[in-house]
Amino acid sequence: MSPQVDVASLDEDGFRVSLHGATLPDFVQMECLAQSNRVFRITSGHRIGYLFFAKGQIIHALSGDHVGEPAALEILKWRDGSVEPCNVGWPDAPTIRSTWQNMLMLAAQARDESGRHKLVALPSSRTVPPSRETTKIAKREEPSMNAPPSSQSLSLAQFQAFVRLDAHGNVVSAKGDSEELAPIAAYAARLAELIGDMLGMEGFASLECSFAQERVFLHRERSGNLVGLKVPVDAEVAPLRERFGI
Amino acid sequence: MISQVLGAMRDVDGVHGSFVITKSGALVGKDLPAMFDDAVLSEVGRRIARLNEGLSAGGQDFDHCVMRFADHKLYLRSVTRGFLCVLSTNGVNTPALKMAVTLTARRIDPMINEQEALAPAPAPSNPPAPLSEPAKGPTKFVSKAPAAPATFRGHRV
Repeated sequence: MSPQVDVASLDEDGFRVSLHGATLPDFVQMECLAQSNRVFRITSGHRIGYLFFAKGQIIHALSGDHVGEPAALEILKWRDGSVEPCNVGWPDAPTIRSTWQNMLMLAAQARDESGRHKLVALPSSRTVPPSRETTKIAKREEPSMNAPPSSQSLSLAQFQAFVRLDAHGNVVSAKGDSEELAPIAAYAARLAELIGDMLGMEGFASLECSFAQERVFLHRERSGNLVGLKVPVDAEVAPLRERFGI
Repeated sequence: MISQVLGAMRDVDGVHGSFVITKSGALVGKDLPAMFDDAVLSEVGRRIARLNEGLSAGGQDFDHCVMRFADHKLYLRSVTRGFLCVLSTNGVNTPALKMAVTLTARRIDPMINEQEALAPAPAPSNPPAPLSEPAKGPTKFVSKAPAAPATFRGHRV
């Protein structure tokens, strides 16, 4: 990749930059960290695409065949070409909701898998999403997580402890040894969210932690409430895992 | 090298990469895209160590821990001297992932102590970015990064 970047026309007091050997992910990372609000035309061979940056994120993309995230992923897979700022009409609303870190990770994975020769094909019991599109479809097929764990999924009698906390950490409902579980659940969920943020993985949904004698489940409900469960290690947890998407 | 052993994890479809930390959270090896720099992973490692401490009220380390996010999963496996951490998509083939983690964990566990001694100190959060030598001409930047961390408009890149 040899992007040619010319920013002089848009940023008169800045540098005129020529970058050789950089990659598009390098460039995206720079623009997003710089919180820029600009549009760039990406040219690679006969292909042309546009990336729209605003407030530290890629908010829109256009390529020959796609708009939004599919376009951004297509562009980010291009291996060589040039980059130049341009004036193109901004969209009425963002078409990309994923973070730039997520976009780069998905593009890197797609590039990696397209160029990788696997010596062993591990058996797959379900379809692995090769792209963002299929990931979204898979998410829609997941069971609703709004409902609390019910007797249909796991009997409350099997819980050693159950607690539901609101967004402020107040106990909404509890059962069993919830006094100990509540602070553990709140703290662990917060750490999980921070870990996810640092790794570019948004939207903490659930956690399963397995010990020698017990398992702890956490699940962030769409309402913002946090459910914490502690169950014996030999309890049947498949329905819980299915509900929590683990 | 730990990174070579970790590379095997990416044979499983949906795995982005992996890294290894000690029980105290120090980063000792990684196989991840360059955007995950050591400073970030060191901070993540410390939080994973705290997560383990917080969840294991009885003083016992967890055996494994799975965190699910909107599009991704983070799988943590406890080994004798540390934790193996694997980033994947939500659609990863879970049985294949667990098998790969088991095999990889066996191989990296004996390597953690020796690697721990080699682990670099975490980079400062806002390191200065002196250019080791001036670029050729006032308008040229070279993409090969100098030894010091590169910055762009005051941000580390």
